[in-house]
Amino acid sequence: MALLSIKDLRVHIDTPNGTAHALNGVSIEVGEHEIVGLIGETGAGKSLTAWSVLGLLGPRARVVDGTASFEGVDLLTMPERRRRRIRGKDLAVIVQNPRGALDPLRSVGRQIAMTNRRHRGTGRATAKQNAIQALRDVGISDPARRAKAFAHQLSGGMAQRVLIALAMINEPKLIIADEPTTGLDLTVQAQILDLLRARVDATGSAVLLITHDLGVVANYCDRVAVMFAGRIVEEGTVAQIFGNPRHPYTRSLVAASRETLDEEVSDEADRSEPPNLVDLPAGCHFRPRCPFAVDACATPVPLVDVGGGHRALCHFPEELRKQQRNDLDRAEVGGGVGS
Amino acid sequence: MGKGLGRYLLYRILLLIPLLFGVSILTFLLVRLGDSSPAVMVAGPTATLEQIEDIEAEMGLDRSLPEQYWTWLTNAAQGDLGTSWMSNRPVTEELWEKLPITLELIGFGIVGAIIFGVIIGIASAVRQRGLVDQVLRIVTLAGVSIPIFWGALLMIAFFFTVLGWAPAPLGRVERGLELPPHITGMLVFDSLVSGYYATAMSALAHIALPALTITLITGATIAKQARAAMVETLGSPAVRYARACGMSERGVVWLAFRNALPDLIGFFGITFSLALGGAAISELIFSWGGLGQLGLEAITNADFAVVQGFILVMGLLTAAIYLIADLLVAAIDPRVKLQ
Repeated sequence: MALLSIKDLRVHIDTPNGTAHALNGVSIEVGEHEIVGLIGETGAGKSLTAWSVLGLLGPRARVVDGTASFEGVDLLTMPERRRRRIRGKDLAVIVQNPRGALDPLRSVGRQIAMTNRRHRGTGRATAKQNAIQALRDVGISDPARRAKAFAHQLSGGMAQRVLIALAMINEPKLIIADEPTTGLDLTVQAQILDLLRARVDATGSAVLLITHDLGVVANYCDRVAVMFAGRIVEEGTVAQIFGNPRHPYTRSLVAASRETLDEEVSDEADRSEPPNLVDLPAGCHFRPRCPFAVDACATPVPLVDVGGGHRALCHFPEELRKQQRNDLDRAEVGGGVGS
Repeated sequence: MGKGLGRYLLYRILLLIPLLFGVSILTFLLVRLGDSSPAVMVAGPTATLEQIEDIEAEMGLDRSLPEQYWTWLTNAAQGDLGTSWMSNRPVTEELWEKLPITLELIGFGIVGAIIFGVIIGIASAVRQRGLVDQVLRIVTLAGVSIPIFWGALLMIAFFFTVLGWAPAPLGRVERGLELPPHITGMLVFDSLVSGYYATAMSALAHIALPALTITLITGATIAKQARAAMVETLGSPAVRYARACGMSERGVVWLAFRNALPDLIGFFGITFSLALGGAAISELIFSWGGLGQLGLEAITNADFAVVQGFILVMGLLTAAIYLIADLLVAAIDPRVKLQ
């Protein structure tokens, strides 16, 4: 049984222009000790999926259908009181802009210790020691002194280490990392992701890593789910997704990251305005941007298993294989993927 | 902090000198450029022009304005603010006597306003568009749009004339009650400390309506400000992250409140200086006999020395409140550095 199993999650958001169909049947599974990448462009619904699962949607957004079972219990229907005991304990979160997320008026050590006390019932002195140890574990030198620092005194990378320490202190089973390296320097990004990976390897936590950076996914994830307009359009192992993308959207992402912009891809890029979630096209949502779209694409799309757990939400997942072969001939493979 | 604080205080006090200098010049000119002359008042309605000129010469009003100002300034620097022609007493003595009377009134009014405003503001921010929020909107509108004298008169009409709950709006205490020895000059405080409980009760009953007038005027704006500040912090990434870490709703409100406090304290300072003006009118209506009433009467009677001293004290008070507010903010917010 998967640790986290999201099934057919549908979320609507009220906007001045009407109801936005932000999530349209998202299904993802995260197994124990697994790092699953969730990738897609801004507005695809990656973060929304995460915050729906946490039960922390804004006032205008609501879950209309679906389940999200965590260790076999549906997070979406359980009382908020019970969810609160899971958040920060078995299900921890790392967000982007860590300096804005920390309480500016409390020292970081105190905030880490508070989470430890809240969920584990640790005593004040023990929690303080645990917090200092947690800071040491994320590679912060002189952790006893750094524990007294406030958020504004930390660099972005340092603050993100603090958030990782805070997420790790209660030894969670799953960590949702929502764009954890957005806004950080490239070198710091790599450090933070290496650290996250090392900590996860050490503790055995699973991770749902939300990102729009394909390189991050290629280097750090076991499996990948690609999201577009509130649906998972393709999922598989990193090798499957990068070596053999079956959805035209995935293909454009992979191609863009390889910077081999052939004609179709640049065509795609020209048309790549974000889909209107209030008025989505029937059938495949990617249809208006798809270089291969035909009339049949306006009919409901099947999720096709193309082998080995590799699935694509497309009428013609086999068509891309031929296309792919041409691409490969032209692009001279060999180098790694992404950055 | 010790040495830095001393330096900071010195800097703030030095900053006062140009401020008070400017205020005193402005007051000096405004008072003397008006039509009214104290000599006319002193001389009475039957006086001849010669008599008035004699009195003007005696009061030094026949000399040039710079000359007059210089005399006032050199005396003021030595702690002599001149003599009131109405009471024939030194201005400093009179101000010193009236100051605690007004401070007590404003103190009650402002503390009431802060308690009322903060509680209502938080309640309506936590449940936006709830009942409290709707009521607050009406109360705030009323509080802002009702002139202070009208509010005071309404309260007298209701609580004294109709209900008979409040004592007559004449002074600070029932006539005939034994007064406590002078400790601070604040009647409620002195009576309680010296064990004059009957006097204390009467003084409390007398201070209720004038203080409530000030609460009414300032409380609504504080509530509005508290609501706005809380709405902002409740929607901040820090609150979202705290929820994601499993913080209880009570903890979240407390977090939001602490983070709203630096802004709010700054606003309390501004409100206090507004209340100083409001208090003067409230004092006049309730025959309070404090600083505000003294100042207003001095203005109508062209008692230049008193007006000048009154404005000086008001300037000092306002500056002191702003300083206290800044010190408080620096004490709770590690991001703020005094310099």
